Amino acid sequence: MSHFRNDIHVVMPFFNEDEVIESVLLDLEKYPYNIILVDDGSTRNIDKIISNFRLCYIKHKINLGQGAALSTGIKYALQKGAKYIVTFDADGQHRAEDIERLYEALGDNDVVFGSRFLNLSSNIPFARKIVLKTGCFIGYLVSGYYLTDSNNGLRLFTSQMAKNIQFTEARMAHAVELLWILKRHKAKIKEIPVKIIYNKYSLSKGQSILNSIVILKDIVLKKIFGV
Amino acid sequence: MTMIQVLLIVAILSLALLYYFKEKRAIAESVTFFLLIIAGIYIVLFPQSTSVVAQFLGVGRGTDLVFYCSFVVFVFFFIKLYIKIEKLESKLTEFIQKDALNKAVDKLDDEKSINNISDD
Repeated sequence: MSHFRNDIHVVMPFFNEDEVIESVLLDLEKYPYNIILVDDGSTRNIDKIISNFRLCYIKHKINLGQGAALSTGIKYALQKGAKYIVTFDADGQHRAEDIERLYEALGDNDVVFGSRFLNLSSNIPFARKIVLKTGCFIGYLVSGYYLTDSNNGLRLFTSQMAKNIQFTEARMAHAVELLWILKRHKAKIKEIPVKIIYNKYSLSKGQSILNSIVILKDIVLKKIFGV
Repeated sequence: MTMIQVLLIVAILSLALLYYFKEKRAIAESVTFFLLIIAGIYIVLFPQSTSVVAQFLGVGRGTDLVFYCSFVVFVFFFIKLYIKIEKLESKLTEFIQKDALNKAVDKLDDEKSINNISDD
C-alpha cells in the first residue's frame, strides 16, 4: 500500500451529504484508491470540506439521480484508465475496508456485490429488510440473478464490464437496470458479506416499498416503449 | 363482428404501423390532424350525422361512436407525449453529464497531495 493504485477507482455519488462526507473521506483516504466524487446537483457547496483530500470532483449542475451520477463517475474512471471500478455510498453506510475484500473476492468474476444479509451482524430494521427483499425479487424477475442484497451500493466491477454500464434509469431503479445489463452481457457475478453501518443519519433516508413498485412500472414501460 | 370493431382495430393497427415508419409518420399525422378538425366542425354543425354513421357501423348511438374514436385518438397522443418527455429528459441528462465531465476538478494526478501516504 505504498503507492496510489492507479487501477482502482472509487466512484461516490453525492447529494447534500455534507454532514458525513468528511468522515467518509477520512475513512477512504487510509487506502490508496482513487476517489471520484460525483456531486449530483447538491444545493450546498462542499469545496471547503473536500479541499484537503486527494480526489476528483465532478458536479452535475442539476440533480439527475444516483443512476446518472454513477454513469458519469464510471465514464470518468474509464477515461482515466481504471482497471477496477468500485461504487461506494457517500452517506457513511459503507466501510472502506470492505473494498479490499471485494477486490480479493474478484477472481475471474466480472462483478462482486457486497451484501448486508450474508453478514448477520448488521442490525437491519425489519421494515427496511422487507423493502430490500422486494427489490431483490424484482431484480430476479428481470435478470435471473438472485442477489441477497441487490440495492447495496457497494460493488466492484472490472473495467471491461463497467464499459457496458450506461444507465437509462437515472433515478433509483438503476439497481434493477444494472442486473438487466449484466445479464445481457452474461456477467459472472459474486456476492460477499459486507457491513452496513446504520446510524441516525442513514436511517432517515431510504426507500419505501411503494417505490419498488414504481420502479417496476418504470422498467416495464421502458421495455415496452423502448425509450 | 360489427363494422365499428373492424374499424377500430384497423385504426389501432395503422397507428402501430405508423409508429414504425417514421418518415411517413409526420405526413400521416398532419393529414389526420386536419381531417379531425374538419370532422370535429362537421359533427358540431350536424350532430345527427353521428347517429347515421353509428347505425352503419353497428354502434348504438352517435355519441358512443364519438367516444370510441376520441378514446383511440387520446391514447395515441398521450403515448406520443410520454415518449417526447422521455426523450427530452434523456437529452437533458446527457447535456448535464457532458458539462460535468468537462469541468471535472481532478487532483488525483497531483504530485503534491496533502495526504500522500507513500512510504518513502
